Amino acid sequence: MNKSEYKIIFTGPMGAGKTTAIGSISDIPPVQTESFNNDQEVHSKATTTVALDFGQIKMDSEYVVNLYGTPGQERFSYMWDLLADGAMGVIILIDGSRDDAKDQLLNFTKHFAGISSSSPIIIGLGYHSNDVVWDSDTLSRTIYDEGYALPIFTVDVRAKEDVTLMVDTILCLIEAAEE
Amino acid sequence: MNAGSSNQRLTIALAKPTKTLNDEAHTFDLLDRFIVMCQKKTNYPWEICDVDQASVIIAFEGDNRIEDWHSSGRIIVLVQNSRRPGKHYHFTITNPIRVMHVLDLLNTVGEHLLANPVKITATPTSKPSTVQDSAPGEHWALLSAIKTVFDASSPQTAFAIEANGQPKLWLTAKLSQCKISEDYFNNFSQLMSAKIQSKTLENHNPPESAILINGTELLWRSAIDSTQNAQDRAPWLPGNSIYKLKRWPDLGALRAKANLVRMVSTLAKKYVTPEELTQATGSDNRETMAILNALGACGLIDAKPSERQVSSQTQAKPAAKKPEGFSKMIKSLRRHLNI
Ligand SMILES: Nc1nc2c(ncn2[C@@H]2O[C@H](COP(=O)(O)OP(=O)(O)O)[C@@H](O)[C@H]2O)c(=O)[nH]1
Ligand SMILES: [Mg+2]
Repeated sequence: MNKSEYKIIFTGPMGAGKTTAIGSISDIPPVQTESFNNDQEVHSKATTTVALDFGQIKMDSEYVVNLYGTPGQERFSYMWDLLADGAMGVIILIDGSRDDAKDQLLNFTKHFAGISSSSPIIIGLGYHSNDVVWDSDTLSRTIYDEGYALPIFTVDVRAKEDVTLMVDTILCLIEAAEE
Repeated sequence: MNAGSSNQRLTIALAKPTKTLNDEAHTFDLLDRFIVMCQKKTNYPWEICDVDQASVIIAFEGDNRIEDWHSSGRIIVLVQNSRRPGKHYHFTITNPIRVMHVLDLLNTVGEHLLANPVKITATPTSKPSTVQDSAPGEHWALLSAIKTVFDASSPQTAFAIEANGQPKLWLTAKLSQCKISEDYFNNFSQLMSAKIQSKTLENHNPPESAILINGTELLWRSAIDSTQNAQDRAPWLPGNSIYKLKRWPDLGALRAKANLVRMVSTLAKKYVTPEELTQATGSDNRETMAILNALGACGLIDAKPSERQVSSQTQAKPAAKKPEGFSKMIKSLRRHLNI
């Protein structure tokens, strides 16, 4: 194999759209892979498996971008760190029609911004019902006030263009940092 | 005209400056709207009228009609650019103008006027000017109107922006609840040539047919449409500056194209001049200025005097994985995703 492999991480609470987003841009049907939970401190059953979403963008013979969807529950956050290590970027998905969207956003933002990596972080805000409980301006100000000037985009990850917008932003941020 | 202490009417007019520098036009616009907004909130029954009928005239420093107005018995409120003693004029208002200043002013001058009624001796021959008017097609009128509402509004207040006397936009402080009339939604640039007014609403009741539009998108679209060329810097955006992004616009709601994503990302990483931004992103100067104006209108940009050189601030953290061929990979990924 002579491929250079890269990765992009999709994270966020359960039901936020990780599997859907990966499906929108993956060149292979997204699969669930299992990974052993070997952290007994966190989970008592050593044999518990953790489901990860996995997809791939296969550009040509030379490059592959692996797409990982993290397990949503916070008790698996040790997995988040492993996955995010060396990633090109992290996409946090949040459902803005849920009451707890703001708290979820703060949790995920703090966690991923805290991981010692300089990967760009993009927040994708979807509305899975017609209730706009949290609008992007309010959430953007909320995390800004906490010290995070991160992009928050209103998206529908069922649409490929909305997912590529976030990927493109990751690429642009990498390029802007490179110059 | 009006006189007599027993029935002193509280009439006020904002005199349009005779020669409008860019910044004065903006201040005029702001004052214009603030007066309308504050009218109902003051302790006194202010009436907004033409200069000819006004007991109180708000005039810009350097307006050569001031002496005439003053000697005809009117109270002058001088709009000045720096705080210094206002000659023999009692009242001044200083840039940058805040809505609270205007409210204070209306209360103070109202109290003064009731205690010291004025008798106007002669009607000056100046051209009439009304506070609520913006000339049709006035460059930044629409954008200023929208911006002013968002800058000043409290969550309880709703505003309508009228174009040629018809309400077309309904705004609240909650950006996600703004609405636009159907006809203008599809032909936004039409709004640019209309005569714009803003009004405080008792209740927020746009018609059923009005379309929900995000406030940021409204500001954004009108900023882009207002910017006609590369020299067209919006009045609130400092000139001779280098710019950096403070907070991100919602590029999803704006359905951003690749070029806009590139510009905003560049601005997120470092302070740049408009020229550097154009160069780094391969866009054109007008588009760059339009986007800086739009970001400025949304309060999303930071500016510093441009004497500071750019290179020292560009040290961003390197990306996590950047081996040889990284930029080749990015290019290939873009091509693959059709970006
Ligand atoms: N309306 C809407 N529904 C979405 C969006 N993203 C995901 N969904 C739906 O939400 C449900 C959960 O999505 P899924 O991708 O399984 O979430 P995950 O648990 O994060 O992997 C699915 O029924 C999706 O179709 C979105 O942006 N808008
Ligand atoms: Mg899933």
